[in-house]
Amino acid sequence: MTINGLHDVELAALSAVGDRKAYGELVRRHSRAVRGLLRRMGADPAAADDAAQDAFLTGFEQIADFRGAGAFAGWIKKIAARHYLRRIKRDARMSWGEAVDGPDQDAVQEPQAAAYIDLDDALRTLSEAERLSVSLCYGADLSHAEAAEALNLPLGTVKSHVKRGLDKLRARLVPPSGSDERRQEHG
Amino acid sequence: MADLDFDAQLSRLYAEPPPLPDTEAFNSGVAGRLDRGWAMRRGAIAVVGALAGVIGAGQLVSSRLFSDVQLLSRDSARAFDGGLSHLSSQAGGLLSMSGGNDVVWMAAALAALAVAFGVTRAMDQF
Repeated sequence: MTINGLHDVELAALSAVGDRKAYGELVRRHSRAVRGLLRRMGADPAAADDAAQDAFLTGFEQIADFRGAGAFAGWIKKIAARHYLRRIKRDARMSWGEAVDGPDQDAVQEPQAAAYIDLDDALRTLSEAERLSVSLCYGADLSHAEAAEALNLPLGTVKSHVKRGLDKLRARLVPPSGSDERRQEHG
Repeated sequence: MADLDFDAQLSRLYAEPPPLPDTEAFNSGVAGRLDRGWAMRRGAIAVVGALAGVIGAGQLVSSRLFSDVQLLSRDSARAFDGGLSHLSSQAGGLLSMSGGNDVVWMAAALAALAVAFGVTRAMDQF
């Protein structure tokens, strides 16, 4: 059987004994998801790629810790998210511990026709804290408590950020009921 | 219920990564860094091994190990020679006994039988 036909857990087991080809296959399978998550957390493309590369290298060093209990994608996304958070803490960009509630004003746009299916557009309407909190919980599958620990914020604050973020996303992603009727009335 | 639906929808949306045209370049970059890290690690192990070898060799040379070994081998050779001459004098006495040749041949045959028995037992075991 070729390496392409192996399950993630089998590839991880091979990687744990130093098989870099097997790990390369895991990278090939999951790099898009990891890079996508980091961009959705608010990273610019270059920073997202740097953090994703660091995460994959860390993943190779710690692959023996991956027991196959969950999906490899979830495991590596958590590592990547924590790498990115460390990076922005180091860059002292994380000033949102002091309640930055307002949305990213530059990114607020009028809802477009297809906006309800575009997560990336919708995420731009969230503040940095909301975006990080929602992405950690829904993109990296962290619990609220884990997200609070990763963000070094109180649990209640993270829950508030998630709730406000979800409200904004819902407003963008879910077409309001009756919008078709209104459109017909105006038409 | 609507909240649960929306949660599931959001999780699904997050699970669908955005299209990224430079995925191959990124994957190659990770592979390159892995290879570099691996090569550096192997190089570091080789350097540490060589250093340890040099230090060990230096310790051996600087210690009196070789002279001690020479002395020991000289003493043991002398003791071996003494033992051998003693044995040969005893064997001479044995051969001078009446029917001594027969005894030696019987002992040799018994020893050969014992070795053959041991070999067959060992083959049965493995």
